[in-house]
Amino acid sequence: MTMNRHESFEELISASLSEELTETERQRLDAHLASCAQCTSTLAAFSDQRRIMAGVRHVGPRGISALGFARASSVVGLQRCPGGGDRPRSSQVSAEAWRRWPAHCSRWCCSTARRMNHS
Amino acid sequence: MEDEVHSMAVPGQIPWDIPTMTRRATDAREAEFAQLFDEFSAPIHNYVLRMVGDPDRAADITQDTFIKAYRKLDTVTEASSTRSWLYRIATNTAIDDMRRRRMVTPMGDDAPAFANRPDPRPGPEAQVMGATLDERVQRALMKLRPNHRQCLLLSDLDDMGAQQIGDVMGLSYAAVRTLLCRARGEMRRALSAEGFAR
Repeated sequence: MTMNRHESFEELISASLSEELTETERQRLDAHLASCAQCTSTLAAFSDQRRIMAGVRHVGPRGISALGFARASSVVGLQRCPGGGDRPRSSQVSAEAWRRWPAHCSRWCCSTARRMNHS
Repeated sequence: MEDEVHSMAVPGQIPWDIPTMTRRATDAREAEFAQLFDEFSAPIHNYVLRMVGDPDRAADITQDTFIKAYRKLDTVTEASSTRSWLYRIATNTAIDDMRRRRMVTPMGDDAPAFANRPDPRPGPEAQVMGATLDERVQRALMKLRPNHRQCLLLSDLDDMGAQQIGDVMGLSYAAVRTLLCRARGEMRRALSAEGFAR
């Protein structure tokens, strides 16, 4: 499959957004954009798209439900999960418990991995 | 065994025994893992959530990712490659999850299944007007092929360069540039269908 003229420049436009063009590629693209309305429009659309993507909400581990850990802990037969207590539901896990989650998770994963290695 | 260890102790040095050394090694490993989790759990979860579009699945995949990471912690040789290594585990775990679901769901590929599924909600215009920007972007993302979605997320959400994306996806630098360009083209059409201009 061969690229048409615009497609080869679209690849340069895409790479230009993350500043990954060589000097030669940059000059080639700039020269083309000066006379191509279609590729100028593509550059504007791809730039908008990157801005839109950068603006989406970041959902951190608070979004990870304790349910997921509870499910896993039931699979490996653990009695406790990282939120503390016996298999709590997401709503039962306090913000403080989530702040301590890495340490909990570390211990939980260690014991889980040991169990898996021995089984 | 303990006697042997003690007999090897050099005067002036702490005569650690094997259990103590093992415990210290385990503590160090757990501390390393906790640090890894602290730094990467949020971005990994966010990436996986955008990949699969489902909070429960994202939670499970994130959890599996870190369990696998813990088990393979010894294989990380350079701190600089830790990020790519974790994202590679997350990506493969997400792909496995999507494959498993495709096997049990007779609806073909992830994206077409999502796109063709009858939607009980109000018509497209009402949906576009009523949905938040975040929901519209997520719907557009779910219309992409999985490898296009991965590539685009790694680039525009996690701000990775083509080289690092290649490390995560197992592709060459040139292949990533081509894939990313196609992903942007596909996303352009998907965003347009969601009411975004251009």
